[in-house]
Amino acid sequence: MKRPGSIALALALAGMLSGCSLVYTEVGVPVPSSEGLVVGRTTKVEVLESLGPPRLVRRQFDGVLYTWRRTKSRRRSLTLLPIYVRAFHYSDGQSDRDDLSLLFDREGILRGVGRRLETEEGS
Amino acid sequence: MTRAGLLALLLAALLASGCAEAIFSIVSFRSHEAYSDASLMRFRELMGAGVAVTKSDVLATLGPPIEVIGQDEGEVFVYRRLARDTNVINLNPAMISFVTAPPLPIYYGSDSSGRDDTLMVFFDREGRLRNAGERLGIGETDRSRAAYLGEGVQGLIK
Repeated sequence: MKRPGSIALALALAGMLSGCSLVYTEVGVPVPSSEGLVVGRTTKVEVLESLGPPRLVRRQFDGVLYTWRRTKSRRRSLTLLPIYVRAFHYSDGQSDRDDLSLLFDREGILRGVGRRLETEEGS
Repeated sequence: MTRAGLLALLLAALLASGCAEAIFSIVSFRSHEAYSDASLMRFRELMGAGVAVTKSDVLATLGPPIEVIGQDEGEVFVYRRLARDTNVINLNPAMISFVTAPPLPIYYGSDSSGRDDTLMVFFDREGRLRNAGERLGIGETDRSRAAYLGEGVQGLIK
């Protein structure tokens, strides 16, 4: 039977041989639902009252495009032998985004809805 | 070797050791923002239907654009997915913590690949679709050693 001291030593050595890191970044709040919005009827004022201010406002020739957005990114890495000499380092990252865009005409009437949900919570 | 040459070599070595701190590094990044293959297929069908397509139709089919560019003749909706891969081999005695050595690499090799899928949709001033152009580059991993290695290691880790 192995002694507890040797197990602790083995664990300490294993810890020295590899290192992992996980970094998550989230920007923005969950995008609102487009339920209740009626193309051709809902106005810009009504949208602002119910959904709150958008993160982006983009002027168009035929009106304006409002966008609500949340971005989530993740980076994870694995390093072997992180103390004496870093023999191998692997890192991968991914960025996902939830977007809701509403297109209004010059009179402020809703003309189009675009929605994309990529984050796990969003989809 | 001249003093200027030695200085340039030292500078290159410093830059090289700063770029990759491990002997072998693989760094990958993917952004899935933009559009899905399914929505791109629906958009192609919409364009091929022979009917007038409006900005609202494009928003409903492809979703919100990642970028909007204003031009004199109308807006351009940009949809884009990104893939970046870098592999670095850096043999450098300075990376060994108990060896005091100048950061002179014995060997330094870097292989980087940046690819993207980009779809641009052009509208006139009234918001009607005029044209669209696409370039699909992410799938071209066979042309990139960096991407090929990165995906292999990612598969092993999974």
